[in-house]
Amino acid sequence: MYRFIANKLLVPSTCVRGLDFPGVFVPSTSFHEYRKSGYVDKTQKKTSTRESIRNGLKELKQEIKNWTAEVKDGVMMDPIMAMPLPGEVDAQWFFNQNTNFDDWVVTADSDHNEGHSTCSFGVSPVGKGLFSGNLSTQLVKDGKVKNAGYCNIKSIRPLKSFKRDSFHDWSAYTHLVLRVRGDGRSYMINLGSAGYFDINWNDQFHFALYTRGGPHWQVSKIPFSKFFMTSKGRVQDHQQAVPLNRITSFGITAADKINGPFRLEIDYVGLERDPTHTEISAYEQYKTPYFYAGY
Amino acid sequence: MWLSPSLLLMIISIVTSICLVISSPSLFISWIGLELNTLAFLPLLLSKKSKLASEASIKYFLTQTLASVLILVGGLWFLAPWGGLATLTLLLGLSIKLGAAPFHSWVLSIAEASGWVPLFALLTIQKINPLLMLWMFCHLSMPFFYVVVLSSLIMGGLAGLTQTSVRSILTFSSINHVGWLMTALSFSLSVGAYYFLIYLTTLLCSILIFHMFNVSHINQLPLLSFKPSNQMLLFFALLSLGGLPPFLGFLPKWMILQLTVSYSLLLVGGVMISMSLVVLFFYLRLMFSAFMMGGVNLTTLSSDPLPFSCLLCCSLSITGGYPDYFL
Repeated sequence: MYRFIANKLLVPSTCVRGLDFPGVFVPSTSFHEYRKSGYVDKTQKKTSTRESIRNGLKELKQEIKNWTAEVKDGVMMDPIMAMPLPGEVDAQWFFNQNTNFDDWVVTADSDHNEGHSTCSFGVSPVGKGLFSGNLSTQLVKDGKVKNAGYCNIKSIRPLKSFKRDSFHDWSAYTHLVLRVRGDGRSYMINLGSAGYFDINWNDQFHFALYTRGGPHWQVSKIPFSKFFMTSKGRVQDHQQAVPLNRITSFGITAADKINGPFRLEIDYVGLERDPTHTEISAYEQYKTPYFYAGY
Repeated sequence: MWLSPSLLLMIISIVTSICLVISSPSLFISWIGLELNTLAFLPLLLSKKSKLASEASIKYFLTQTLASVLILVGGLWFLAPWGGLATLTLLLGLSIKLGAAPFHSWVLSIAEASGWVPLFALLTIQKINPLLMLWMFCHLSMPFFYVVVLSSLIMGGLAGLTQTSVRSILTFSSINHVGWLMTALSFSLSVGAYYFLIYLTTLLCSILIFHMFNVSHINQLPLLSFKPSNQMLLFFALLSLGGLPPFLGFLPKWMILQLTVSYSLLLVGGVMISMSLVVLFFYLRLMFSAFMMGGVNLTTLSSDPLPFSCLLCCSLSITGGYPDYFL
């Protein structure tokens, strides 16, 4: 009954497209029952409560050690040592043979039978990170998919002790620095800033990175003020600065609507502080001042 | 912006709610004052117009509503023969409203997301109503009250050690001050009011300077482009907030310590003194990074003088308003 109501009467949205409908009937496109909008991992096994408790107790000792280390780091933290000097790049991620690529989530539209693109993220022949694959804008003939052709890599969300969600705190920095060697195609740099409530779960900030196709590496220094905000891929009218103390993920998407192979080598992703950069957000809001024109 | 009609209405509503609680003859009217205060503060939180501010306002509304329900239920239970439980429920609700430990986790997330002016209001003005109600019903002889006071003192001191955001540091310092405020109110209203007014003055001075120079992180202080004289003012303001003599902030702490010793509340007094040292340490750590660069200026110094209001506030905070103090 609920499935009938959902499929026939609700406003069409991705969260009810052919998926198990939750037991809550809310005719709204802004309510999100699940964090991943219904795209669940069907290969994941369900564990019983007893097994979950047993697994949790096994990890308890390590989590207590992690918590102790966090408290020690916090108390002994020296702001001088952690201070970013202008001109210095604090690398967040280095990509080489020792990188654990399991810390990166690699997705494409073919994962859920919504397209034919494929991609991988590993080590390149010169020992750097390589994000490569094949983009295909060919549609899957199921009558539901309207657009296809994306490949994405995303960092996993940082966790504190006891599996608590944490954030990357980049509030001391003003620029994102990437040393990449591209193939001339354009890629989208994504900064996830998932909020506490469901309406903000899918908030991201994007910047289009244009790469050169040559043999030389490029160092792209991107100000955080140039990133624009989207929610579920839709650019928002009301733009704001990136909440640098609440970054949940960093990602790169290849989705430039051009069929064919793509290749992006990444040396490092880092952060830099430029004290002369005072811009907060590059996007004007056209806000009428108070007491202006009788308002 | 703060004189826009809508925000002015909210500010007047907050002042009205304070007057309502002060003059209320019954617990129910006081509860109405608390509700008016909560609802009128929400637009002030939303003045920043960002998604974090929206999140903060929802969290504030939910926690304050829960606390209001507990206060109302506690008040209703006074009519039943459950006097002890009624006082406990009331105290629980008021502690959540105040952001006293161990019910303080909501204050941090809201403080991080709000602007400086709403943060100042959250840490000072929004505490007036719950503190007034607390004075009527609670005393240090009550075990739960004792636990809340000690938790606030200890949590505010120790948890602030791990923070790098200036807002978080001021928030945990405020939680520590809530412990002092509750202790002061358990002695008398005048002592509590005196402590509150001095705390408001010292906090205002620090927040004004942080707001003017847009400092949000502990690492920004060495790279700030303002004159060493302004840095010294900020340093003294923070020391005053920490309660170091000879600044203004020391006086109320001295007064409360004297009262705790004279009433033989030695445990509370001991915890207060030790946690004051911890709080002072993280203020000093905040400022040492600004002075450790040895006077090397990495950016062009701003020669703009501080506005008169900021200078007046700083002089009140540092000298206590006695111009002949240093003569």
